[in-house]
Amino acid sequence: MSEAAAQAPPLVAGSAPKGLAAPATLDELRDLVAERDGRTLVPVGGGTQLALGNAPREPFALVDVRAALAGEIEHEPADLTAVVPAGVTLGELDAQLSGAGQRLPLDPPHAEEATIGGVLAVGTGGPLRTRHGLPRDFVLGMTVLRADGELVKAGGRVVKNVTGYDLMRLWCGSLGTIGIVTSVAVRVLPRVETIDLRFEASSLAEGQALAETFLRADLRPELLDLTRGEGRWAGIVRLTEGAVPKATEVAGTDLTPCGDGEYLAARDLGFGKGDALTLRAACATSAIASTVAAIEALAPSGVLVRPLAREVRATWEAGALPEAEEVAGAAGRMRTALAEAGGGLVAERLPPELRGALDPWGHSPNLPRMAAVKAAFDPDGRLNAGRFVGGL
Amino acid sequence: MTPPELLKAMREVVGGEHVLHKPEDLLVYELDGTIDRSLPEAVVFPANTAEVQGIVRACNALDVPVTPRGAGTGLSGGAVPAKQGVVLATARMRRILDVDPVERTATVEPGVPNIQLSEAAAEHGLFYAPDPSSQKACTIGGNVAENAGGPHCLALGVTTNHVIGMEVVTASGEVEWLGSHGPEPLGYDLRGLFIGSEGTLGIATKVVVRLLPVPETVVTLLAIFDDVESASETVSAVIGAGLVPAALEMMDRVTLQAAEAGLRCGYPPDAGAVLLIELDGIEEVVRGQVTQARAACNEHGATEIRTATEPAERELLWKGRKGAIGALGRIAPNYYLLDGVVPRSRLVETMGDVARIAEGYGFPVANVFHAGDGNLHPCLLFDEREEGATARVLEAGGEIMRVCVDAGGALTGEHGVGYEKHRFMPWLYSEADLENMRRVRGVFGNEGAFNPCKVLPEGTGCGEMAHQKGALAAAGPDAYV
Repeated sequence: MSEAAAQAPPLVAGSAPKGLAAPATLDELRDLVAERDGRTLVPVGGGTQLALGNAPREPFALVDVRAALAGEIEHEPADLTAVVPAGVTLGELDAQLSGAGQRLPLDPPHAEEATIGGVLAVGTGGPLRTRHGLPRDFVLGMTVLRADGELVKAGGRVVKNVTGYDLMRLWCGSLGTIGIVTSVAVRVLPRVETIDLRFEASSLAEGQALAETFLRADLRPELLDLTRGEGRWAGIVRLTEGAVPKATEVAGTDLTPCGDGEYLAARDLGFGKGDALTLRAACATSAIASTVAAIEALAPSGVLVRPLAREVRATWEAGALPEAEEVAGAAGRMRTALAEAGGGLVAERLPPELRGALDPWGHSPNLPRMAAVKAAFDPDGRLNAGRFVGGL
Repeated sequence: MTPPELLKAMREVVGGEHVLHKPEDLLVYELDGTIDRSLPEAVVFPANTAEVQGIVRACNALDVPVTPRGAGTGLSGGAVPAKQGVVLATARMRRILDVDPVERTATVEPGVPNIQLSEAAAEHGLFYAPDPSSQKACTIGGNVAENAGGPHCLALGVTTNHVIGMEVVTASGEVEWLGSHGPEPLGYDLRGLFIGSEGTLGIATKVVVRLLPVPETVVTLLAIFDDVESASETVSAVIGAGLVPAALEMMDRVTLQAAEAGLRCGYPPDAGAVLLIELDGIEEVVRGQVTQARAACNEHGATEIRTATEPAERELLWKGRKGAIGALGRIAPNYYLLDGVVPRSRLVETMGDVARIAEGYGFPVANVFHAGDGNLHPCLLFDEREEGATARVLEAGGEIMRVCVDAGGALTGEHGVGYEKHRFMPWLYSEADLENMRRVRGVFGNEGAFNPCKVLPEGTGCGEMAHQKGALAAAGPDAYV
């Protein structure tokens, strides 16, 4: 506890916490959560997404859960499952799984440091979501510490299971507002031999068309990301080795093997030290071009399109931020257009000067129902109150 | 007799011709694909969302329970109106509203049969992945309620991985979209929570699904073995080789003999197990996978391997599997199909336990199962005309479920808890876990009257049938936590 407390705690969505706790055991964490000392508790794992959301309700304290939620991974290679304490990082988990030739294909920004509990709470995927979906798609069961200190579970540890309500889906992506994940059972996959190939597209449309070609040719790319460069788009695609000849045949452009530099740059785009504003759009295929155009009008330092996952991410460095009014106006127009096509726009990083102007989440038509969820599981707002959609 | 005020209220919402109330008409709606039954007071057929809402609101006002129903193919009593009241059937809501090849989505009404969705998508080179064995009849609305799987969910996932949004009428009678027709809506995943809630939170009135490109090449292998153990070792070897086949299905000796007698699949008379392995993808990749799978089969004692790539030939290899349950009718007039799930590595030992339990009760048992994901479907064969047979078969079923739970498994892999198994839930979950799940009902305004006696144990008043008590007594009521 002392080491963590010695450093100044990091900001949460731009606000300074009043204290940092690092309970050493699950029991200590449980006692802390069940206490009603008037503070909001902000659970944190690897701290890779602390900028996300609204500032928590004051006064709030950070709770580093890594020590309390540490422990052994129970990996069952023959069953393709693992039960993982929530404080384990994806890096640690990968090291263990790879020993048995298996993997959990989740790669959010800075995956190595991110804890699995945090990754599930945030719910964001990375490049591999193109093939494998979101973190929630791998969850078989969960144990969660509820705001009143009760430990509750749902699901199990078998790969196919519909016994009881799928609370795992509710917990995933809930940003720790209705409970702290303590342990999770996941489905894992065999490792496969893949190769990363880069390509160039003279326009976004050309890159999107190539992605569609790969998909329709049944090449099953593990990932396919397009990054804006100088007057062109740089693409990266990860394929199984057996798929490369056919990919080359249908691509109509050069596919050049590359190292993992391109992949890591795409995975972490928007989450570098200098990135002050990062926007992510969930974007219907038909809305990708117009969304990118609206973003480019704000002169971002980086733009990433994940066409098959229907995701766009853009980032601005601290010295080159657009005016607050300009961002707010553009974000509002994008949100209106995206909502019509069933998407949305989230500010994953928001500098202090823009916080007042832009709601990091945007509006959800389901807010009353979501408020009912929050009230059912954390009526006092003990956990992360204020930080989530609509100030939940 | 149907209470007159209920009949009047229902007729006001949907018109007289869409309300059934005569005892002989109601009889069809007292059960689904399993054993439990209860007669509704009325069956109502709404045509649209507004009528669904009208029915739910009117029933809530009259304090009458509503039980939603799709095609009635469910296998856990989910469509059984446990406390009578109204069965709300979606049979008239069967329009495919939209297929969008650019976004690769389709929007349908809940009464659309599963197979029709894939048929509609086929002209765009797309298909809908979840394929329950009842897919010719079962509806998308029912699939959403049960979070249905199917033989091909091993690689592609179940309903919740493919339904991205739906319009629902909640238990309290409100209309709301959960999820959307696009990617990733904000906030809590209410869509994911609703899917698999077995019709206890509300009724889906429009469903948006994502569609996948049809695989370029599909190869089906059928391997014959002397016994289930060899076939199971083959499954382990296939998975150990890093393959995730599109399907990995197994049938045991009893099933094979019935299938052979009824369907003439060409299984040798001494075959002890058949394994179906389906691989798909581009030809160049599938070719290598087929070689690996064949090697695994040969290494573990396959006596014969058949391979097919053309749709008609593949259909032939699947014929025995798809017709297996129906063919069991040659052995006994009734069957009780169970749905248990265990860690895949414990399949063989669990099957041994299942055989022992069935033998103890004197029922023949046939096994058809999704070997790749540890989902067993033991099928107990009996004759309901025999005194006490139904009660005993349910008792045996309870014991088998208990064995699955004790092996680290669960009560249902894809059929749902329903009415059938709601009292077994304490074997898996503590009282705190169950109370936590119960809170979800409140979020959707279900205070207990909407589709009662499903999923969660509710104490008394759920038509405690003598045979259900027997099943509990046989397997033990204590919580397995």
